[in-house]
Amino acid sequence: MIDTALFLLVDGLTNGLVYALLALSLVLVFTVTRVVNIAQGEYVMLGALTLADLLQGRMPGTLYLLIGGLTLCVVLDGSRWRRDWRQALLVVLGAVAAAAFAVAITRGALWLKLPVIGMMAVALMLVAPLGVLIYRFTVHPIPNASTIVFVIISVGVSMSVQGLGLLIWGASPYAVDPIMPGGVMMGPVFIPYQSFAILITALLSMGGLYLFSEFTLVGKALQASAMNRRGAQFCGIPVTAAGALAFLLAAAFSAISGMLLAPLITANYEMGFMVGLKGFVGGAMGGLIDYPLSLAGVMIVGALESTSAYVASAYRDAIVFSLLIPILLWRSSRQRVEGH
Amino acid sequence: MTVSYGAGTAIDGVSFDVARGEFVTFIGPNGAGKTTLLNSLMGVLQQNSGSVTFNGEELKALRPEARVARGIVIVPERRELFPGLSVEDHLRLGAFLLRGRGRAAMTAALERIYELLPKLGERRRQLAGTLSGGEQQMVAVGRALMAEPQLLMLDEPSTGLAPRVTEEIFEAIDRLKADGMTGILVEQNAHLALSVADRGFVLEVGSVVAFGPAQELRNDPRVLAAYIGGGDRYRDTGASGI
Amino acid sequence: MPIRGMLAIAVSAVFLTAPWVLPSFYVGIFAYAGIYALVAIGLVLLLQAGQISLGQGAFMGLGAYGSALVARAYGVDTLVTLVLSVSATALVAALIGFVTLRLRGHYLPLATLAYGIALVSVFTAWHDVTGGASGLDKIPPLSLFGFALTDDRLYSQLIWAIVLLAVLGMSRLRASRTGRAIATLESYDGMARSFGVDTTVLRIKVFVFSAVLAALAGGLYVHMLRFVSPSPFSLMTSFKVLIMAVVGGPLSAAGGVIGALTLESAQWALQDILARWGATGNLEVIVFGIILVVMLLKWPLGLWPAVERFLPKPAGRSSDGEGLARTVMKEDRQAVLLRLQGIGIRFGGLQALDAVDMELRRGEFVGLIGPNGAGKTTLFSIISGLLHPTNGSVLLSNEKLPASHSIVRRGMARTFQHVQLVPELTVIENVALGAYWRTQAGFLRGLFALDNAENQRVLATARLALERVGLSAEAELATASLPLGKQRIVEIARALAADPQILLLDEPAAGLRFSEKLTLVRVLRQLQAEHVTILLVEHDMELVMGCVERLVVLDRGRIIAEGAPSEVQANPAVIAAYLGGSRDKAA
Repeated sequence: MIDTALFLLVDGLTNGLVYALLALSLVLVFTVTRVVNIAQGEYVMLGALTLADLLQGRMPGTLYLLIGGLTLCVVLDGSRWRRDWRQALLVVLGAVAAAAFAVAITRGALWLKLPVIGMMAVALMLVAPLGVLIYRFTVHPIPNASTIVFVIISVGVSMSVQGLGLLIWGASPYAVDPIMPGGVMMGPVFIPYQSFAILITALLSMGGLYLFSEFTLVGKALQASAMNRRGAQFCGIPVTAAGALAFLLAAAFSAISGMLLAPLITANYEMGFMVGLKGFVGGAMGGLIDYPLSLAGVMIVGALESTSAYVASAYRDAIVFSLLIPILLWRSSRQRVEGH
Repeated sequence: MTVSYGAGTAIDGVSFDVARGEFVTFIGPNGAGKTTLLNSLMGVLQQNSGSVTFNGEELKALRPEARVARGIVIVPERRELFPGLSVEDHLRLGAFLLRGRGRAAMTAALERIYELLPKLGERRRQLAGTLSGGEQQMVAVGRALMAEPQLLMLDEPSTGLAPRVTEEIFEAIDRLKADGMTGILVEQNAHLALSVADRGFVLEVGSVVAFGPAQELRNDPRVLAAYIGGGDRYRDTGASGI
Repeated sequence: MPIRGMLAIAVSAVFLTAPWVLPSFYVGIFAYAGIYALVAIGLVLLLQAGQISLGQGAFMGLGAYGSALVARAYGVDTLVTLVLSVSATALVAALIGFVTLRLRGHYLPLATLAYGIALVSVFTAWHDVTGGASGLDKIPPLSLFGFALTDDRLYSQLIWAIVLLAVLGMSRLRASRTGRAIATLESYDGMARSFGVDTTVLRIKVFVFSAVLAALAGGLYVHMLRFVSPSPFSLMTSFKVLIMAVVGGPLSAAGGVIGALTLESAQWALQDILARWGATGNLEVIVFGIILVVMLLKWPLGLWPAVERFLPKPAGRSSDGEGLARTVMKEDRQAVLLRLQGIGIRFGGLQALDAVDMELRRGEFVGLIGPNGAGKTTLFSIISGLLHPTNGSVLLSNEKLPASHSIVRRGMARTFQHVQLVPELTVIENVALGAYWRTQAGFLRGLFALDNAENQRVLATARLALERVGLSAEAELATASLPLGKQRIVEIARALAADPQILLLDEPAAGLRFSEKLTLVRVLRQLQAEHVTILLVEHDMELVMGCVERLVVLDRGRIIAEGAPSEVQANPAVIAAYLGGSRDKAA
């Protein structure tokens, strides 16, 4: 009985931490740009599959996405060269440099046969910029659109990216090496080292975001843009860049979460969407604006998922997603108290 | 500096210029278009026609952030603070575009603000959302000054404040002016505004109805009329309506 | 008969004969397109109400499984099971709507998404009953009063007949009392409530209606295929239907049909091409996703406007005849209609209003003035029930102020400082919103056009209100085509259509030309002669001083003076509040 409880606790905690990185991404993106990003989970998939490719010594298909995205960027921005050719030239040169850099670090990493952690860093550098590109293509052109429009757009992004994942990696699953193989027996329960790696990486990521937000001026500027867009503009903070930064960081956190998760399950093109949604269920607890409440929410999701997997595994998703209803009821009762 | 201007219905064909080191004020009742004027100078609102030049450069295509970079800084009417950030965070963010100057320059700039507005020094760690109205107004002023403005625009700084607090803020404005700051002050409180400004413009429903040196305007009956005057034009029409 | 009506009949005839002339392979595709069109039409209405569901596939599934399982297990007539399962789905939707629609913004898409996944995973997991992922066959066909519909062509025709009826019903609804109220839901919640629309309940109704169409489509689907499995009701279907609604556009139910036909054809074409390239899997989703994004970025109104450009303008519904009966009011200065006692409100650190006492007596014309930030707008919001004071009470005819959507029923109507006219509605339709509370026709009566007589009286009321303010020539124009000044007058006409005893006017003269102001004053004088009680907030002092009997002056959240205009103009406290006291160290 206690073994089971301990096992479920570890399992729930591990899941919760993976979702926590997602919830963090979702809150960050929502507060700065007002986008409810249904597509956030796709970076989980991209992170995991990019890492899988790198670990197997292949050039990852992510490079196609990156280079394709940069090309589209050049086409969109470069077409305005008549008005401002200097800026257009800058865009072209920047895109070429970024693409060359991406190819170079990937080749370098493959040649050096970096350890898992090094490959994770490289994968991160390939996936995170995709967040900025997607921001450029979907949010930047219509910064004042309604929440509903952004939700629908993110559905479109999710479909396309998932489809591209299928095109690049196919439908078969990939096994991904953990940061450290093996594990330890804690009493009767076997705990893989990867669980510890997840704990440490998640805490480091959250701690990093906290330090960045609280102790750097750019971090404060990001917070300021989230709290009051106009006020931020009046300080000379470029709010578009703040949005791009939010998308970049969110993509990075989600990709990390995918790379940590992949060794526990297997990676495939549709793994991300569900993870993203579970981040949402937890994030809804904090209304997508409150970090601590959102983290509490994903921990509940993680615990509930492990328990229901044990008790009624076929109904796991049904139970986890039904949790949203009581969470929303709780929020609406809170809204009543706070509001009218 | 030359600013000539003309936009739609809220403001119609207003032209004026501000010289370096000068403080001008726009006074007039609510709805006269004062805030609209500042918002379009700041680039928050699009002007329909006319042009605005600053140090010889046409501003029309510039976003608000770019105008801040050129030294045009506003203390907005609604203050536009960040409720979850501390007073000192606000001040640092005011100098966001000057962040390349290093730690020492930032500290020195902060000290200057705390000297001008001592209350901010006392409250430097407090979150803006928990400050009183007057303190929030001071944060907005301090934040704007941190950007080292060449042109400081103050939008209704006395709104909703107790007279004592208003006095504190206007004393700070007096000192800034003495240091050679160029400014545009939009104020409903005419006496107060005319006591600090060099020149004044009286706005009524989108157009300038009177202007001149601040001293002269103080005793101009047109000022009072713009605020709570008249009524005769509509009284006459009454009979035909019923 | 109008050209538009004849065109509609011709197009309908084409759709209804198509199943009999198409090659048999295409009959099935055509039927599927009709099923998706039905779901997309429901989403279009939801989009019009400023909401979105990402779980319509699950509602389809609920309708499908409910009908299929009961009919298969108990041999109940399939028409009965279909009605039952659609009703059950409506109940589920009402529950979800109740939980999420009281919350603002982004919760409905998330809730429907979560619910959609949960439900489909139940279909898969509950193997004993649903047959799990591999599904169940031998589902009985749809029977209409004992006649089993097994012919594909006939079935396809039935589906399209239902689709066309849905389009017709939606266009009726659009021109009805409820349709006008739905148009307010996206951006004008506060305005709608102040004219008596219970926006929360209406949002739930719209959501339930969209779920009912989806469930019906699901039921039709499963009795056509006569096989049920979870995959057709997955998230992919929900997303596909969403794309259909967006591609067709949110302006008209016909957009849903156009979207469904476009996307179904695109899907078959793409799959054909991809198969020739030897690609496997659902790669067409890449293109679908891009279509969705590009449509929203470039053509957010979808394809429908491109089609409608070639159609004649729809004829407005008749506004002839008599309007609704107006309340006759007598002057009675003893009767206190509105009483504010000790009103105070705090926002964060700011005491916006403090101990405000005020009375409005029947037939009075009172102006509320004060410098910027004095608290006029806040006080106005409190009186109209959109804000609740921290202290004190508001009494309307000696009773406590009711919920904001019931205030108009007690005889108080208002205009808004920032014009709140719905751009999707014509001028007369906007004005008709004012009479919302005075009529009853609900969602279903609108849908089935059982509201004609009442609707005509409402429109007549609106026309009369427009005549009173001198805008009858503009009645059928698009609201956005009017200059700001006239829009403000339309706001007053809308308030008049509500037959108010008390009229609250929030800066009605802002942005008006002098001639327009004269019209405004004339209207106000006329209302005064009819003993309507008026409270006016206005910055144009010339106008205020010239109209009102009594002024109340607010400064920093407190009343500093009260009295006739000439008294107030001479009051030193008022002058000081406006111009500011002199400073101690005056320069």
